[in-house]
Amino acid sequence: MALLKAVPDTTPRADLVSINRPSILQQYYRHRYLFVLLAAALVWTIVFKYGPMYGIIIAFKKYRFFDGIWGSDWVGLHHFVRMFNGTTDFGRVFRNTLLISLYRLFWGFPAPIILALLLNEVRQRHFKRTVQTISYLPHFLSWVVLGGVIKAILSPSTGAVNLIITGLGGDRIHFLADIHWFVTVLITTGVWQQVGWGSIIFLAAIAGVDPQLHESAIVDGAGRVRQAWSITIPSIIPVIIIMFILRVGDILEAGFDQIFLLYNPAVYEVADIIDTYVYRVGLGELQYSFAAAVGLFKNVIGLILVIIVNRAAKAFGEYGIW
Amino acid sequence: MALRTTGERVFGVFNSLFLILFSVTILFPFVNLLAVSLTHGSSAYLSNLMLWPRPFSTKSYAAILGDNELYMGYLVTIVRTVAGTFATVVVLLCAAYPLSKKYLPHRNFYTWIFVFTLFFSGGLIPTYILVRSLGLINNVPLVFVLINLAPAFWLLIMRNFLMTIPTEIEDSARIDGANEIVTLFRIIAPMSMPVIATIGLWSAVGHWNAWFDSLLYVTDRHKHVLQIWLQRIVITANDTLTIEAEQAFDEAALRPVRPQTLNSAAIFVAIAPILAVYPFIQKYFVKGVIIGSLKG
Repeated sequence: MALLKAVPDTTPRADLVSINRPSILQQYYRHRYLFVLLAAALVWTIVFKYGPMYGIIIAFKKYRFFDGIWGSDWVGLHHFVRMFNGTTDFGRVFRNTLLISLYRLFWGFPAPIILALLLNEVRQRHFKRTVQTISYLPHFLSWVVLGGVIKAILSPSTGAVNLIITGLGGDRIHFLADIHWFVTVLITTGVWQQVGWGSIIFLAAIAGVDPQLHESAIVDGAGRVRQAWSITIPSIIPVIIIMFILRVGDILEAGFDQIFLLYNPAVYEVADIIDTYVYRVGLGELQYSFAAAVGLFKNVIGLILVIIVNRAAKAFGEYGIW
Repeated sequence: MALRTTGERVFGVFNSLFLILFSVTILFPFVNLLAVSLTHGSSAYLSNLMLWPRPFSTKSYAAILGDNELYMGYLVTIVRTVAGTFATVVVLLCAAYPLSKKYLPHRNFYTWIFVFTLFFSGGLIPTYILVRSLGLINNVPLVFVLINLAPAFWLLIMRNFLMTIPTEIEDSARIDGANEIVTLFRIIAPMSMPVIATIGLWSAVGHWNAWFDSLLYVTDRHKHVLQIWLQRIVITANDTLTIEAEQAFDEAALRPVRPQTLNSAAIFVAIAPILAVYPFIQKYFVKGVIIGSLKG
C-alpha cells in the first residue's frame, strides 16, 4: 500500500530506501503544512502557558511593575521564609486547604458512586432519566448563580432554610457568617452541585458490566441486591480506584470559585484557602511577589502529587493520563 | 422476568423516595426563588416559605430589566461565547490533526509541550502580570478569547479522536494532490463532528459561566460579563447587611421591590437562556463525558 501513495516530491521514502532516510530538515519541509496547522496552538501555549512560568521568577524578586520582571531586585528565598516563619497567614490557609479538600474527598467521593448504584436499581426508564437530568442541572450553572441561590436560601432573615428552622421552633442560623457552619455549608453544597454529574462515569462503568454475569447470577438465585453487591460493585472497582487516585492528585484544589463567592472576613479563619489567599494578597494588597511564591509552592506540590498518582494509576492499569 | 421478593419491593420504594427527595433538594431552591421573584415586595407572605407567588407582581423584573448594565453584560457574554468557542474549536482542530499523525517530525516533543501545561502552571499572579503587560486589560472580548484559547486537555481529547480515523480515508485526497490543510477541512473535519460538538459545547458553557477572568482583567464597569453583573447584585451588594439591618429595612419597606425579590429576579434573568437550552443540550454533554473519559 505504500507503493500506491503518490508523494508529490521526489525524496526517497524511508520505508522503501532505508539507507537514504530523509534528513530531519527534509521531513520538516515535507510536512510543512502540518506545522502551519500546529502553529497557532503552539504559539499560544508558549506565550500564555510558558510565559507565566517565566514570570515565576518574581517569587524570588521584589517585583515592581515599573521595573519589570527582569529589572526588579533579587531577594532569594525571602518570600518563602515569610511563608513559614509565622508572620503571615500562610499556615492557616494551608491547613484550611487540606482540611476542606479532605472533607470534600470523604463526603464527595462516595456520593456519586452511591447515586449511580441507586439509579441503576430504578426500573422505570423515564423516572431514572428525569432524576438524572435534574441532578446535572447545578453543573451547568456558574458558581455566581449557585452562590446567589445558596446565599438567598440560607439568608438568616428571609432564606427558606431558616424559615423552616424557625417554623419548627428553632433559632436562626447565620450559616455563612458562623465559623461552625461555614465549612459544612461548603461541603454540602459542593456535593449537591457535583454528585449528579460525577455519577455519569460510574453509570457508564455499570452499563459496561458483562450482562452474562448477571444472567448466571439470576440462575443461581441471586436477587437484585445480591447482584449489586456481588457483581456490579466488584466490576466497577477498577474505575473507582482510578477516579480516587486522580482525585487525590487534586488535593490542593479546595474549590476557589465556590469559596470566593460565599466567604467573608468573619469566616476567613476556617474558609481562607491558598487560592483565595493568593488572590487577596496578590491583587488586593499588591504583594505580587509574595503571592507568586505562595502560588509556586502550591503548584510544585501539585506537580509532585500528580506525578505520584499518575505512577500509581499506571501501576494499576492502562489508565495513566499520559 | 425474575420475581421480586418483598424485600426488593420495599427497597425499590425507598430508593424511589430517596431519589425524589434528592431531586427536590435541587429543584426546591429554584422554585422557591422563582416564587419570591414574582411576588410583590409588600407581601406579608415573603416571611413564609413560598412555592407560589402571592400577590403576583413583575415589578422586580421590571426593575432588573431597567438596568442598562444588564444589557452590556449580556452583549459581552454573548460575543465572547460565540467568538471564543469558534476560535477554540478551530485552533484545537488544526493542532490536533498534526499531533495525531505518527509521521509528524518530533511528534513526542510537540505533544509534551502541551501535556506539561496540564501539570504545571505559572499561577495566578504571573498570568495576571503577563496579561497586563500584553495590554489586554479591558481589551474585551479579545482578552477572554485569548486567555481560554487552547486548553491542552481538550486538545488531547480531540487528538485521540482523530487518531481513531483510518488513514486510508485520506489517501484518495492525497492522490488528488490535496495538501494536509485541505484534507483536514474537507475530509477530517466533517468526520469529527462528534468531538467538535463536544468540545464546542464545553467551551461555550465555560465562556458563558466564566466570571473570574472578567473580575481579573476588566476594570471598566461597562465591559464586564453577565456573571459579574449578577455577582454585583446577589453576592457583593448585601454583604454588609446584618440581620438587624435587613429587618429594619424590611419593616420600613412597603415598596413593590425588596432586595430579596430583586436578587431572585436577577438570578432568573441571568440563567433564563441556560434553562431554555438545558433540556436539549444536556444529553450531548453526557456523551461528551464518555468520549472524554475513554482515553483521557
